[in-house]
Amino acid sequence: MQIELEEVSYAYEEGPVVLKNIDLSIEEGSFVGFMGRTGCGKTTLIQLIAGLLVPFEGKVLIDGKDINSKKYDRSELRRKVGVVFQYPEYQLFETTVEKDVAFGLKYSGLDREDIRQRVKEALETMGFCFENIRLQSPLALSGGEKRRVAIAGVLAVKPKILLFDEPVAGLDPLGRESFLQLLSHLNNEGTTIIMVSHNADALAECAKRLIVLENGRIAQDGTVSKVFFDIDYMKSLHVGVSTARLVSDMLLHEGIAVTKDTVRYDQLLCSLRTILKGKGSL
Amino acid sequence: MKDLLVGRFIPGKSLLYQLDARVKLVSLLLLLLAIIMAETARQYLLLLGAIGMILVLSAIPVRAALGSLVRMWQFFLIVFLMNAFFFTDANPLWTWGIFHLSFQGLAQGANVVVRILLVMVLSNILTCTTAPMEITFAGERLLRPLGCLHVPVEEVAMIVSVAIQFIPILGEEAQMIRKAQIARGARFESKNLLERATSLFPLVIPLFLAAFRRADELSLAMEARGYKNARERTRKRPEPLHAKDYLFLGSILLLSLFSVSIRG
Repeated sequence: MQIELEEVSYAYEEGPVVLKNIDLSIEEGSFVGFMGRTGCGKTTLIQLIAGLLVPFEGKVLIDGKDINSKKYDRSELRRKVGVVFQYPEYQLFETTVEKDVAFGLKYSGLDREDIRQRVKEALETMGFCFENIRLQSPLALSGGEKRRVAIAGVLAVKPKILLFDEPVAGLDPLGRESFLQLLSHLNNEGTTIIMVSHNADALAECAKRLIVLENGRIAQDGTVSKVFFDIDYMKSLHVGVSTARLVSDMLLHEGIAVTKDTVRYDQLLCSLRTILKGKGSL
Repeated sequence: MKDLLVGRFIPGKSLLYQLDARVKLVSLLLLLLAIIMAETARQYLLLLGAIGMILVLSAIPVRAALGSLVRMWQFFLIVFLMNAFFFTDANPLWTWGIFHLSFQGLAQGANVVVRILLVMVLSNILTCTTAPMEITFAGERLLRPLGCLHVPVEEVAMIVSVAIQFIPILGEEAQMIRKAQIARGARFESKNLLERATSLFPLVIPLFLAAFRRADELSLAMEARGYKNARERTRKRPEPLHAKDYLFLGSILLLSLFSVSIRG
């Protein structure tokens, strides 16, 4: 197991307990989505995995090593785990895009040429032309561009685990689409991806496993189609299900036999097409 | 970061919370005068007793009022030594170069330290029991007569209150940016002094940008809601002084006068 949480609890100082006895293991190369109402502890969980918060009780293990033990080398953690917070564009500060993206590589021990290569790759992955963008001020870019530059800064370190906290909030539909494609692409190349989001459609689109948190506990854990199956239960947890799941449920009630575990648009379209072909017309 | 929070407002219901902020502010000033004019042990004991009483009445945890003072012991030590060694006296106990140690110097040092301590405890009690906004409003009310001299009291009060309200927001923002930069590989704990100074850029620059962004947004929001500084603003709640306010202010006034009168 790449990431393991053993009986992890967390409480803020003088505040209520945020996470209670979380046991969780995440395999290498998986794509896990976290859902849950505001304040259920999703962001805290991300920060615990990233080692930015220390659990009150319990252990966080990455590649079998306790990341909060004194012997653990923190810089190893930084190389392994990349975090993209909500509104990552607010962390930009350098004078040029190239310098800002290279910031995380400062202590990596790589030579200049390698760093430049990494920065170029990361910016190109985020859809920029390196030569055009490298000398621009990151602060003068548009909102969407800033966010892509900030994410490039995290990608440049080439972490094996990527944590995203609500990454699609505030992106336009096209930006969201290409961002989700990028996530799937990174995941296909072997990067473990953990993504916190309220956006059920986005999670249905790319996550392989879904975990729903409620009051600091894991309420649901399983494949997307399993978790999205019980629509009423999901609503009672203050998280919805994907639009495709809702539509297919309505169609089933109307007597149109779409596949039961439909959660994504392409699945819905596919089964509708099959039905239409069979009937000739609806 | 956490040290900044000492003396912050702690919600509560004791007598001191019920008093009007103006009364508390004036009482603080009166006691301040009494402390500055105190010289004899009798006066200090009297004031110490009074402050003890106030602390009891406030019912705030003692740690909240005194915690920061314990951590500032180096500051008090330096103040004490500066006074003790540089006091020019005719018959010093001990002299070495520019340093003179004398009884009077020691007394002076103790005097200054005790005064600072008392003032700090009092102001801690004030800020612990009075919300920052209340203090600002009280200041505005008390300084209102200056308006006749074309001092923009209301505007200044508004600026101060906005600034106060922004402190926790920017603090939270700073925490978030710090975490984001650490996650990107920033190191804030380097031992090299120059490195440590430059390592602050990734924290300070985004924080400045955030402050400007928030200021812009706030000014737009205020305008959208019809804020104008041309006319006198009304307050949401009426603010008459109650019997306990007069009682408290009266007793503090008497105490201060008494303390000054027994100067000897």
